[in-house]
Formats: sequence, C-alpha cells, structure tokens
Amino acid sequence: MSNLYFTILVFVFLTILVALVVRHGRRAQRASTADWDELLGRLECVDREKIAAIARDALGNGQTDAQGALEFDGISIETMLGGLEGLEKLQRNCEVLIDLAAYVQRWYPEAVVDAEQLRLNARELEWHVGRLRGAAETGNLHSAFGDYAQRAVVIYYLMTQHVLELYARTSVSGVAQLQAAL
Amino acid sequence: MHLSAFDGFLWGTGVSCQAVLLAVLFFRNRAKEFPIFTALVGWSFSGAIVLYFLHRYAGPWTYYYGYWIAGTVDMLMQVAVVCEVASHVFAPLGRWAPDVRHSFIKLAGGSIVFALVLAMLQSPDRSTFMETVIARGTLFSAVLMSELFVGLVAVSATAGLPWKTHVARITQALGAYSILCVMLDTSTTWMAWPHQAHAMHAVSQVRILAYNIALIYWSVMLWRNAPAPRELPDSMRMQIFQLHRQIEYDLGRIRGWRKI
Repeated sequence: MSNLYFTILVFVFLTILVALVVRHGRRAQRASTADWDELLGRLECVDREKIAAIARDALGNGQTDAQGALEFDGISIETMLGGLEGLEKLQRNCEVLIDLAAYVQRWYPEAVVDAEQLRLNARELEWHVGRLRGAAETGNLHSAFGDYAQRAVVIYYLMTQHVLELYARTSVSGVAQLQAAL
Repeated sequence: MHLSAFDGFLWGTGVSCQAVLLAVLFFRNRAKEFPIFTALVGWSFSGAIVLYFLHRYAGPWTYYYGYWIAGTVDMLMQVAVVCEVASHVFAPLGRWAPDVRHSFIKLAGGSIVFALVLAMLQSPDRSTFMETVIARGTLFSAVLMSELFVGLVAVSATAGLPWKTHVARITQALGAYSILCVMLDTSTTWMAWPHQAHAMHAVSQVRILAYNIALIYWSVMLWRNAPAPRELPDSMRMQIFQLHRQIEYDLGRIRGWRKI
C-alpha cells in the first residue's frame, strides 16, 4: 500500500478512535459527575400506577382467576404501556436508575453491589426490549408483547423499588423527590 | 553513537520521573492495587538505566538487541496493564460481570487482528528486513494499545460500569500516549534512515517527552487520594442484603414464568 493511502487509513482510524472516546467518555463523565437535579430531570415520565399494576399482577399480588391466570393479557399490557415506545422509555429510565445508584456509590462505595445488581437488571430488560424490537420487525409484535413486556415491567418495577430502598437506607437526601419522579 | 545534551536531559528526567512514580506507588500503597502497572514502571526504570550503560560501554549491536528486547517486554507488560485495568472496571464485585466478558474477548481479538492488518499494510522506507520488522512491530504495539484503551472506555460506558479515580487516570494517560505513538509511527513511514535520520531522531524525542509527561501526570494523580468514602452501618448492610434476596427471588419467579 502506498504511504499516502496508508496515512489516510491511519487518519480515519484515529478519527474513529477519538470520536468513540468523546462519545463514550461523555456518557461516563455525565454518569459520574451528574448532580441530583440533572439525574431526576433525565427520568422520563411514565405511568407508575399502571407499571405497578402490571408488575403486581405478574408477581401474584394482583387478582387472578380460579386457574391462576393473570389479569392482564398482551393487548391490555400493550395499551397500558403505550406499545414498544413505552417500553423504550422504561429502558432509558433504567440507565438513570443505574446512575442514581452510582450517585449513592460516591459516598458509600459498598453500594457498588446495588449498582451492579441494577446494571444487570437493566441489561435483562434491554434483552426483553430487544426481543420485542425483533418481533416488531417480523410483524409478530402483538403476539410477543405480553410475554416479554410483562417481564420487562416487573424488572423495571423491582429496580425502582431497589433504588428507593437504597436511598431510604443510606439516608441520602432526596427520597421524597425520587419517589415522586419514579 | 553520540547523545546530545537534550537527549541526556530527556533520559535524566525520564529516569527521575520513573523513580518518583515508583516511590509514589509504594509510599501511597498503590502498588498493591496496581501490581502489574507498578511492575511496568519498575521495568521501564531499570531498563532505562541498563540501556544507558549498554549505550555507553557496550557495542552498538548489544545496545540494539537490548533496546528491542526491553521494548518487546514493555509492550507485553502494557497489554497486561490493560487486563489489570479491565479487571478493576469489569469486575466490580471481584468477578467479571457476565455481560461484559464476551465483549472484552471480542474486543481483544478484533484489536489484535486489526492492528496486525494495519502493521502489514505499512510500507516503511527501510533498507533492511529487520528495520521493516521493527517499524511494523512498533506500529502494531501502538495501534493495539490505543484500540484496547478506547475499547475499554466504550465497553464500560455501554455496560454502565463506573471507573474508579486512579484506574481512570492510569488509562487516560496510557491511552493518550498510545494514540500519539500511532501518529508518530505513521509519520516515520515516510522517513528513511540515511536521509532523514535527524527527523526520526526528533520523532523519538517527542515520544520520550510525551512518556515523561505521562509519568509526571501519574505521579501527581496517584499521589492524590480518591474522594473519601463512608462506610455503611451493619444494620443498613443487612437490610440491603435482604432486599437483594427478595428482588432475586421475585426475578427468579418471573424468569421461570410461563404465561397461561
């Protein structure tokens, strides 16, 4: 390869590396330095009553019929959540929940266990949303929605409970604000 | 071979900076936390002294082989430092997070292949086979290191894993140094020993200067303490542990759940 083409290739390679560092570094920087208001401001508005109802239904706290069937079917879950878009909102909120746990971790490094647990839960939720995206592409969204979405909602619901509990236990201020935001 | 006053200055500051950094690593107890990084600094320190004496008292070939043996070991140790950094970032609870292990293996494999391809595409203007191998080997090392460090940042940000202060500082400087080395090694592709010996020598001086700046940066950053943490009281720890168990139980039920 001629030196000119080789130099151009290295230039493109370095540009990609720098772009990756800037893009991902910014995300990491935002997570590690974000203040409380900024974190809460990133939480997208979701209907927490409906989320709690769907989650409790799956966890067995809701009403079930004589055969133990769940109250909500796929269509009603899809309507309650606002379809795939609603689930994607939950996925984005999961990232904020991880950052909220990392916020506590700044003062209590032992909260790393909670942050890691939340991070793994978020990956699990991401996986369910990914399956639904795949189902949407093949035109099977409606048949798959109830199954994957309810699992995703339960994970999200438990994550919110986890973060609220963490804040309440560690006495980091802002629990009431957080409760309102979640 | 003759060393200019500026070469002597670079060598002197380099060895002094390495000695200071080693002192910081041991006196501030960072050596326990970063044993491989400490070994790398120790190796560079002792290597610089041995090479100086080889340069002064041994023949040019002895120095030549000593330089490249030291350089090869240095590169292998830098790869080991990447693994050390990765274990700090990707194993927050003492074992590797299951969702990033696969990504890291893919990153390492892809980085090696790409660095090899880029090194093979280089056509350095060198007169001997050995000089070509050395030029390609140096570029391979710089490309591999820069890919790995950028990859670590990308994988950790994607997975949402935070960086501890000291780990981040070690990575920043080593990553920036590697990227600069890629630029310098690419610039030497255009140069040939007999005609542009001065230019190549200047490039090597820039490289040493950049490494010395990285050494100073590490010394300052590793001397400073990370933000002081607080400890969770036992009662809180127990309550959080119970909460974990409850959540794991609920999630376990949901994972095994089949809709009727």
